[in-house]
Amino acid sequence: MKNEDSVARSKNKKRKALYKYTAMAILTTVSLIFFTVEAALPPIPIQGVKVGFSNVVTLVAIFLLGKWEAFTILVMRIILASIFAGSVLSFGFSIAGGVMAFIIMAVTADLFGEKKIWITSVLGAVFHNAGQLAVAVAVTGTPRIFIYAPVLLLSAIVTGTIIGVVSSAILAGPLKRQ
Amino acid sequence: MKSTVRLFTSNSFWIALFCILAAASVTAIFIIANSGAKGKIAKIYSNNELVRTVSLDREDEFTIKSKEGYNIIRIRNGKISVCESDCKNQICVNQGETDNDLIPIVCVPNGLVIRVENGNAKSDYDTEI
Repeated sequence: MKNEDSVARSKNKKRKALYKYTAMAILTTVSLIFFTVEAALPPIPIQGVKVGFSNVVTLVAIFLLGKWEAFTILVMRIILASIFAGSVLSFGFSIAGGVMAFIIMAVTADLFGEKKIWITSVLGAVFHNAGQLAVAVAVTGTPRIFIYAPVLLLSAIVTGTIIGVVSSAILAGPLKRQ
Repeated sequence: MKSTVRLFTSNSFWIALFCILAAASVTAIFIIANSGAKGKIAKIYSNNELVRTVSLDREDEFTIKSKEGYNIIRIRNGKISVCESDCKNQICVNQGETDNDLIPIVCVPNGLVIRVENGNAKSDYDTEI
C-alpha cells in the first residue's frame, strides 16, 4: 500500500514537472513571437515608445508558473531575440529594461494579486522605461536625454494598463489554472 | 497600519496616483515643447566625441559615420533633422526637424547626438571637421 502511494506521488511530481517545463517552453516561444511581430510592425513615431506585448507573457508566467520560471522565460526570450535580430546594444537595452521591470513586478505581484494585475503591469512598464532611459544616458553620455522622461512615463502608464488588462483577461479565461 | 496597507493596495489609490502622474507628464511635455530657445548652431557628437559644429543658417546635407552605422543629417529652413539612418528603430528619423536647444536628437544605436545651441554661428562654423 505504502509503496503504491509513493509511486503515485512520484508520478504526480513528474507530471507536474513535465507540465511546468512544457509550459515554459511554449511561453518562451509565444513571447518570442510577440517580440518579433511587434518589431516588424511600423514603430510608434515617438521616442522609444512601444506597447511591449511580450510583457503579457512575463506577467502571466509569474502567476501561472512562478517567479523564477517567469524570469527564466524573460531572459531566454531576450537572449533568443538578440541572437535572431539584435546587437550587443539592443541586448543591453532589453536586459536592463526587462530585469528592472521583472524585479518590481515580482515584488508587487503578491501584494496586488491576480485581480489587480494592472497595477503590477504599470509599475513594471514604468521601471522598464526607467531602465532603458538610464542605459541610453550611460551609452551616449548625454544626461539631457532625461528630458524624454515625461514622454516615457506617460507611455508606460498607458501601455502598462493595456498589457495589464490583457494579462488579467488571459489569466481569467483560457489559461485558468488546473 | 491595516488601513494604510488597504489604501496602498486599493485600485482607487493607484488610479488616482497614475492619473496625477499622467497629468504631470502631459504638463511637463507641453512646458518642455514650448520652452527652450531657438538655436543657431548644432553640435554633432559621435560616440561622445564632438565631430562637427554646423550653422543652421545655411542649407546642408551630410553623412556622419560611426563604427555602428551612418546617419544622414539635413539642415533646412534653420532647422536640423536626421533624414536617413541605418539604425533599426528609426527614432532619430521619426523625431523630425528641430531648432530647439532643449531637446537633443539622439540615435542611440549609432552613437549619435545632435545638440542645438545658441552659439555664435559664424566663428564656430565648420571649424571642427
